[in-house]
Amino acid sequence: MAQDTYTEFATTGVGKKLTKALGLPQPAKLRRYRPGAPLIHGPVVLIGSTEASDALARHLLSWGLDVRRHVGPKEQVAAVVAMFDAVSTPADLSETVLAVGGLLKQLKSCARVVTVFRDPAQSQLPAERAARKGVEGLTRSLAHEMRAGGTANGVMLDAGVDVAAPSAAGALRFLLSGRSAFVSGQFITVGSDHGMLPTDWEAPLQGQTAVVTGAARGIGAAIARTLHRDGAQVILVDVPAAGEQLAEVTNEVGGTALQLDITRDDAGERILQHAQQYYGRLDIVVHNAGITRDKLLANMDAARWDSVIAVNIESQLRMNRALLDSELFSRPEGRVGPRIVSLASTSGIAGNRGQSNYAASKAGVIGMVAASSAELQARHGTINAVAPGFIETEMTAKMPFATREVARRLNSLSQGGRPEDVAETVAYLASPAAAGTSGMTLRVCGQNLVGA
Amino acid sequence: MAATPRDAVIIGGNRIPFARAHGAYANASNQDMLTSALKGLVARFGLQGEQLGAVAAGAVLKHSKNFNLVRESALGTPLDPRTPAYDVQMACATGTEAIGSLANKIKLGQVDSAIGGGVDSISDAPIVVSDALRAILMEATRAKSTGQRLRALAKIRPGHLAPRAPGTGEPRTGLSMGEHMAITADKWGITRQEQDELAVASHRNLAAAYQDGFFDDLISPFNGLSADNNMRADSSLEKLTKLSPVFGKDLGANATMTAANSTPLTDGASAVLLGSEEWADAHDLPKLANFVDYEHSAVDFVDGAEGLLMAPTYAAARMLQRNGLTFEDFEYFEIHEAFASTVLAQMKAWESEDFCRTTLGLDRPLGSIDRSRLNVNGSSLAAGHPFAATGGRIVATLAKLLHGKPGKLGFISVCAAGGQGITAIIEGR
Amino acid sequence: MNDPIPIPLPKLGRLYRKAALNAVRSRLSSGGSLKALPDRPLLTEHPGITEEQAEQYRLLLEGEPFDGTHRQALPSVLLHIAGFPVQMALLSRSDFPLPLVGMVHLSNQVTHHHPVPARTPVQILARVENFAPHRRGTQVDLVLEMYPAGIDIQQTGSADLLYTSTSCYLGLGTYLYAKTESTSGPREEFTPPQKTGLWTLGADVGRRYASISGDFNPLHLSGLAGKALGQKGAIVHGMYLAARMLEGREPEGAGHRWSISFEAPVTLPGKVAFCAAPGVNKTQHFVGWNPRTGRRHFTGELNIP
Repeated sequence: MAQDTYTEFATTGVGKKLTKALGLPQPAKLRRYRPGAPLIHGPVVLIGSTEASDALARHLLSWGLDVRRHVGPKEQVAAVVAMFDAVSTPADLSETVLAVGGLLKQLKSCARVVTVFRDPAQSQLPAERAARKGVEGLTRSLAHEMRAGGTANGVMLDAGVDVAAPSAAGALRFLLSGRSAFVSGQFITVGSDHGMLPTDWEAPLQGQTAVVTGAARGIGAAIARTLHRDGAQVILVDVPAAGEQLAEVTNEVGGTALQLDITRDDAGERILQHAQQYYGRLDIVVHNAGITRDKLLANMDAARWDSVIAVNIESQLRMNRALLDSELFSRPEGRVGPRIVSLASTSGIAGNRGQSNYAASKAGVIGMVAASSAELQARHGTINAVAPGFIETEMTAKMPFATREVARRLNSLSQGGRPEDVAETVAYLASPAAAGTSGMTLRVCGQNLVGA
Repeated sequence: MAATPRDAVIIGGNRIPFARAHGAYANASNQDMLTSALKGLVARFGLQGEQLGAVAAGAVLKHSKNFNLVRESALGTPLDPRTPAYDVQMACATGTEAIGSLANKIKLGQVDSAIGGGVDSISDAPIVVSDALRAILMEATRAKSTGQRLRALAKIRPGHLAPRAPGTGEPRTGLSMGEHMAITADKWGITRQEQDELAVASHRNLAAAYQDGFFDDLISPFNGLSADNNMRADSSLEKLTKLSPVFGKDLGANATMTAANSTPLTDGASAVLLGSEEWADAHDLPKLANFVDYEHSAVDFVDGAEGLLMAPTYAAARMLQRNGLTFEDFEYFEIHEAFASTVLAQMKAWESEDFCRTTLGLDRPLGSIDRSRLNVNGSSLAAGHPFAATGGRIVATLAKLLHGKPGKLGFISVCAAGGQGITAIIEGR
Repeated sequence: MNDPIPIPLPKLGRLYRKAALNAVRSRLSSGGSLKALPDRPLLTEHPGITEEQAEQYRLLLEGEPFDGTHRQALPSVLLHIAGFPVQMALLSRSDFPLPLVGMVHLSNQVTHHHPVPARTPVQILARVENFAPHRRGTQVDLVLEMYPAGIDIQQTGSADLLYTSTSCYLGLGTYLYAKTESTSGPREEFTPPQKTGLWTLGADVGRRYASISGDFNPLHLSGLAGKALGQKGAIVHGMYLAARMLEGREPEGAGHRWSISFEAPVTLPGKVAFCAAPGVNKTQHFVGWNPRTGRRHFTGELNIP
């Protein structure tokens, strides 16, 4: 992985002064999740006195947080949760927004602002929809304004979903925690009251079995490690040629290795067979395996185009069919069913020069996830995509220095993410606490300036 | 078949791709390779932290520093360090012997789980000093004074310093294995054509098995190699016919053995996981096949009374008799291709009325082996033959072939240096 | 038998120096007439082959995989080596009519009656007999007999005989009898059989065998000396070939008989193709030949009880 020497330097005392004086980006050392560490250090201010906010406050208190309605003018604040769930016209935004604004200068580093509101698309009332849509806009802008590793994101609730629903709490906790270090300017939708909160927040995947494809290295290996850390038993899949590294990662996480070319017709069946044999269950499938074969479209050949489509999206469609047709992957346990998390890319959202094939496949993933959601939700399951932005991997380490340096800084956090950041989001979406979130694509990009 | 207290189940296997000597694994040691094969096996079956009954493997060519090769290798894996491990050595039969003896331990209830296998490296073969130099060095070591030591060391002559590499020659005859086989091939009238055909079939079968993904869960890559690099998918009779004989050249026109119908020197390692039925079930592991029985034999080859590599013909006769089986009872045959002519001579012997009656003491010939059941996924001619690693390759391949065919039997024959041989029976489940 | 002449165990080095002188002298004196033949055997006491010697022999023959160190009885060729200085003493006596330098070993016949372990003192009796004309000179048999130490060999005779060998030598170019042109028949046609072994002999085999046996005949030591003496290079000791032939085949309990006849010498370094074939009555037949030219180096036989 390429070392981000600039961030290392800029976070030292001298470096901080120097980069500030020069007007250079000031990447902060991000607060990342560590088992055993507190969820968040310092007061969490809850703004907006709706009835729902009381329910949410109870959750926050149960997590041992220092929840406040008000803080003194000098007090440092770790997070602000702003309730917009009851806005019916844009004028309603003002009070809460200004209250949030008043706290911004008191935010600690790596602070969190989370807005809670209802899905604009579900309102047919122009004023209400305008107000809800307004929350999106202000949240995104705020994300750009956040400093010192702070992020701003939103939790967007469906009409029928209670603010206190498990997945709303799950989303809020994820956004407050270090797990979402590289997620900013994003919205997590909660579409149902499916899901349940874990008894042990440090092992939310306890007792569950997960498959990760492309697990031999990079983001896939990080996902396997994170799922394992969160308590899951992991089946690590990669092509036979990557078997040596696959074995290393597998042995590290105490999982089982399955050498498999996912473009095989029977890849889904083989995964199911393996899961049945070794674990007797399959709860989580992470479609991480992917390849790039970059070329300007003018120079694109069939081999480059077809292989990327075959690996990055066709294989997933075929495997999902097999998975969803199986008994093993279909049975819901209580209010939680099977979960699929698929790796998309910001290239799939914004496009990227030389990546028409890759972008097509990744946009395809986004489409597939949205279209498959109903089928998964019907069995209390979920399917979501995660779209990484610039992540420091072996792959990006091969980029030319200047390109890499620019790509790193082109986001609100002024740095590249780590494979673990993607993995944390995958693990969150795979957790029972996110069972109410499905069909969406969540970006892990530090609010990349490119794209939406 | 003979009733045993309980079944010894073959759960699966793992090997690293076999590499032609002085190639991809030139800088890898036996321990590196065996450790990698074991790590892959542990990963495949989720054995991290597991305390197994035993790990038994070996190497034919071994450094003296590797006196505890298998234990050291096992310690380099995530297996519970309290898993005992030991070295086994029976020339090319090492792997099969390790697996067979572990299967016996499982049947007897001495262990519940085990890994058997083997490794060999030509590229990292031990080079030793001459006996004379060794004697002088030992004398110097024993010396009680500096003077004595210097007097001992003063005996060293330049000629003593030439290192000795181990050869593949038989110590008692000075003949290489190939030369021995050439004599046997000539005796049994094995033709060049049939040897070349067998070699081509081996390459094609192996390539097809790779293509089918058969080895996806039997091999894990090592040192950048993900498939046996001796394999030539485009091997053809036309190409092979052009080669000149390399063994038995003093046979003149009857010299039939070429580089292509003989196994090249190869580096590699393999491992097979075995367990009792209960252990496999308790660990949610697959049960591919049972290791039913095995048999050794040795022949008096020194003065040419029997061919060096013909011992398995004797073992097969005894083993089949003991189990009340004939060749018709077998679904698949895995006959180690030390040389194409080895397989052909063994098969010819089993077909021979005279040999089976007079030499093996049977009432009738064992009969012919259906070629469509022989080495169906390739064998040593294509894959290569890192001596001690071949047994693990064969057992895992055959067990997978028989998986899902309960009660179907597989036959294994492996010849070994020193006029020895080993045969085994595997039963699908 | 005439009374043997008791002598101390001869020192080979001294004998070789004497042989060099004799070579000059005999050339001066032997005008092709048969002088009186030596008729008294030599008798000496030998302290026994040391374990060190046995070990060196084992290393030379690469016999490690054959005998290990467990074998108690010494191989026949080591007993021959024990007797060799006595033979040499006999050959270098002033009354021996053939010059030592230029003696060619033609054949050897051995009966190894009883096992002899290392460090067993023995009495060695050496005599010559059967002088006979040969196409290329004069041949003679050198007989070695070994008895246990401490017994009176005049009294006990053959009952206590441990080992007896008859080595036939040719005194090349010394004609004690009238030259006979017709004694050599046409050369026997030799078709090599299927080999059962292949010996690879290094350049140092002559020197190594010499250091164990004490037979420092320069013919075996260096290519230059070999060429000077009319060979293509250094040639291997005949008894080395006998040792290789017998390695791993001699019974621990002895009682075996063996013989070897030498033909074309083996030039060093070189390869010898070898065939051991079973015969009737526990007799094995051996033949060694040049795998390249097909020329026969030796034939041999071993009969075990």
